[in-house]
Amino acid sequence: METFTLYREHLGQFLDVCQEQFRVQIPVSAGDGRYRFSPLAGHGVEALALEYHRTLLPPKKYFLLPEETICTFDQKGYHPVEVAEEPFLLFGLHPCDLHGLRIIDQFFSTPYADSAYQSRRKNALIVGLGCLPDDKCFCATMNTQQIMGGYDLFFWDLGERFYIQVGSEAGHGLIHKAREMFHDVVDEDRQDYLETLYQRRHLLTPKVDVADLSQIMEANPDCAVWDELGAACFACGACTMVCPTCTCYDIFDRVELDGSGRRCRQWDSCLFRDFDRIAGEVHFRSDRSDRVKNRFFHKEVVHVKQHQRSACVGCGRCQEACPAGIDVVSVLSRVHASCA
Amino acid sequence: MNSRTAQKPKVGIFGLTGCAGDQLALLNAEPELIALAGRVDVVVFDMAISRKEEWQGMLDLALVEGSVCSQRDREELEKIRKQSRSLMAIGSCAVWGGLPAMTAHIPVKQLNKQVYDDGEVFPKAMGAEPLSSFVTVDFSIPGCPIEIGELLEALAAILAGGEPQRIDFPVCAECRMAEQICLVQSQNRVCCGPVTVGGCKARCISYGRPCDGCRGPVDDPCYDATREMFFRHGLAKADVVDALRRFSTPAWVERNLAADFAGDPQRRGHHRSQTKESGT
Ligand code: SF4
Ligand code: SF4
Ligand code: SF4
Ligand code: SF4
Ligand code: SF4
Repeated sequence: METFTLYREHLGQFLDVCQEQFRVQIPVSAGDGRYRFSPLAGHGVEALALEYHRTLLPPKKYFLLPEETICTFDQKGYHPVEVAEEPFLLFGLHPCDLHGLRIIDQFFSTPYADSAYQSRRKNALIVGLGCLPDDKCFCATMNTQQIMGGYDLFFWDLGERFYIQVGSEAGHGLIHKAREMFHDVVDEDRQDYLETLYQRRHLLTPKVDVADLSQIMEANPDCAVWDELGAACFACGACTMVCPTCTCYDIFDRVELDGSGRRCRQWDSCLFRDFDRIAGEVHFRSDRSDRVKNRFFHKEVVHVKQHQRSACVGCGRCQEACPAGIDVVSVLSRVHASCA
Repeated sequence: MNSRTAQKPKVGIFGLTGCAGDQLALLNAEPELIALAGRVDVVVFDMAISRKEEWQGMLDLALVEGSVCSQRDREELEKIRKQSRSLMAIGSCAVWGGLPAMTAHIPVKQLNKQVYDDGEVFPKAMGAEPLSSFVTVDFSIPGCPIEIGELLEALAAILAGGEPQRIDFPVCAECRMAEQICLVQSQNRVCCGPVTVGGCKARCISYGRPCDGCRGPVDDPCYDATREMFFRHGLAKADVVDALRRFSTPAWVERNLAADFAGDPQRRGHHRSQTKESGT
């Protein structure tokens, strides 16, 4: 695998070069210690928040839009909407988000490929960025601190320079568009890189015991913890909107007065009361506690069975977003402790 | 109503007690109004057409704005109901009682005294009530004022023989979709977003203001959990209740909304039962 270094002062120039070909998106401050992925073009490289831990919305917002039109219709029939996405580059995804992206890639490709998702996804270059955890990160619990591919380039911040791993042909191509800015890796770079990894792994310790979590949850589905959570949660759905691996959406028609219209899809959440409403006004989960339980069961039981891994990547977004202060780490540890 | 070759459906637009903001919103939507006129016959439009004589025939759909604040409102509403195959409440006054119902906990006599220093100015005044307190409501478009797009989509869906899209998620959900920072979490402000029905794309929060709850409560609002959340943020009960009271008092500050919904399992048009429980 190719590796290079790039001096910090050249990052802006490199992103400018990327900008010629791609709409570059970077993490920028949203105030109050929060961040958003936003276009570099509107902000300038000074706004690049290399120190960010998590963004308000995850990278999924670029691939599964909060609301989009999937086709239009009129008297003549249905007309597909072509997704004409210009190539874009997402700069600065942390390892948990790379895992999250991989999980939703799988969801939107098998067994049926979602064409809108796919056409956006194949137009995107992904640049990863190394990180050190804050108090809400629990990737080490979910084993998503590991970098397992899924990037075109990966940047490690070594202070005055970045250590860069190339992960794909496209990443290689990007480096070679501005090859003169990059340096070959020398021993000192390698040592600094390994030292950074060493520091990082010492900060990354599991926060809760999740051994046998699925089995415990499945064996005791009526555990009292769910009722306690149901009483505290007000079903706002914030936790699912911000989750990098929540993929639920609703499909509905926006009809015009002339009878034509748009078939839309919009993010949905299993926490919403309407989520499971079927003909005859029947609900499968009319109790809030059942809906909260469903969210955790999907992440920790159903997804594990289907894909042999939890669908929680430990990014800490739901914890940060929940106005009721329901934090997933304490939920998992309560489940582990009281439902076993 | 879905046959385009048949006679155009007859629609009436009525205003009871309110600011007429919803009729105004409709009047301001000029291109859409023209499209609407192509599909339906607007035979009554209180704000736009001066009524020379009362419409006597049957209507396919009545859009009614405003709350019921007097015996006269009530009689007019009952008449409209009798004349209309379907009735749609437009605006939060009609759906929830709205701003006029903010004082629903104060007796009308006392209000008359406070405002006019005279208990007898409006002898027939009553506490403001939503339409559903008196008649069956088939469809509801909340908002203060309504989202014009939501109304037109609902009308289009009804004209196409379908059901309007029913929004059942709170403003918080749209607030997060729009990637806003939560004002409760970041600024300790009282925000009605968690219990207010979405559809406005969290407009107020996008302008840096907390949600005032103008669209009224979601189905199954989580009142206790929301109150707990505010208390954890150190906000006073009075502030929370004041904020929630502003637009949808009769529905759920003075009475128990859950009980209302129990009387209306279909929750079509947010009908509410006539029983007046005292609640939280
Ligand atoms: S459940 Fe929470 S912590 Fe886990 S991936 Fe989703 S948002 Fe992140
Ligand atoms: S079912 Fe719930 S937890 Fe699972 S993806 Fe959908 S919204 Fe997320
Ligand atoms: S963010 Fe919190 S309050 Fe909102 S639905 Fe999720 S767990 Fe419930
Ligand atoms: S409480 Fe208000 S500011 Fe916070 S997420 Fe909900 S709507 Fe947005
Ligand atoms: S944010 Fe709240 S007050 Fe503002 S328009 Fe929406 S529902 Fe009304």
